[in-house]
Amino acid sequence: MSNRTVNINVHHVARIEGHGNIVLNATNGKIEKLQWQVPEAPRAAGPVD
Amino acid sequence: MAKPKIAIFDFACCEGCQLQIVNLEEEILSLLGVADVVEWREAMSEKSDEYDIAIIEGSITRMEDEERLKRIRGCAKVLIALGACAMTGGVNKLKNNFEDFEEVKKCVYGKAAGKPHLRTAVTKAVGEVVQVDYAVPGCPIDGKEFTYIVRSLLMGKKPEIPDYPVCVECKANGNPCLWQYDQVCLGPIIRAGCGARCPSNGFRCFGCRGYVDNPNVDAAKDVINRFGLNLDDLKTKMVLFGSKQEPTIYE
Repeated sequence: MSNRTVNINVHHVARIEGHGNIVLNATNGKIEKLQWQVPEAPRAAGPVD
Repeated sequence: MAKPKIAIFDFACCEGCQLQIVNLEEEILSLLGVADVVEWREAMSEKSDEYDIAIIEGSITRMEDEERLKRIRGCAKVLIALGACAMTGGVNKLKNNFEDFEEVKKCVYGKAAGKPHLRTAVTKAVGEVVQVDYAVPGCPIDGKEFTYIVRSLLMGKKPEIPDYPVCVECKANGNPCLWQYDQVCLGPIIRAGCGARCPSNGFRCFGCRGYVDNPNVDAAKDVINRFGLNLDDLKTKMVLFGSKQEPTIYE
């Protein structure tokens, strides 16, 4: 396996409804960080009577 | 002549108005014949800062979103607010009725309310942050009205949005008045253009297209009295899409 670092940062995944980011950092084939982020603006609509 | 460039952006919303555009299917292809879509996250991967028309969906609920919106406005010659959230703040403005946002967040998000990604500020319509040139009303928007507005702009014409109440279209459809069935319908004060879709299907108008200009609130109050209903009933029904907007009904 080659020695290399891979950093993938997909800011707002396209072609989906809703906001998601994908973050993947790997070095020498080992995953150091893998995140599925949901950066959607909160609506917090609150209750209605 | 180069085709005008269009970019579509979303903020705090359910993204249902964009779905209405996606659902246009063949009609999108005809639009693409006269305009280039250069950014539209929900439908394509490409991005661009070069566009003539920016279409904004959603309301603004975070400071960072205000900055993003201002950057978009700076790039666009024309800016269109898409749907109720962008045009009036929509359902998201409900929380502006409460002074204590922390209590609202606890009510909506429960134990997760303190998480950093749920930070939120006062909800603003797009027009409260930047200049809006045109708006597509509704929750969700009507696809045909959207294409009419975009086509008009591409032809250099000003799109005409109805400035008469939903009752006009409802009567034209031959519907019995829902007030006669004890439904507090907002048709008398809400902007038409939807074809009175909800009352035509037996459900009261709940005001998603926003108020007509100079809504006749007094007439609505007369209707309430005629049907022996309570003014509070009407005010409550106006909260969903009308929070923190004119008209305010005074006792």
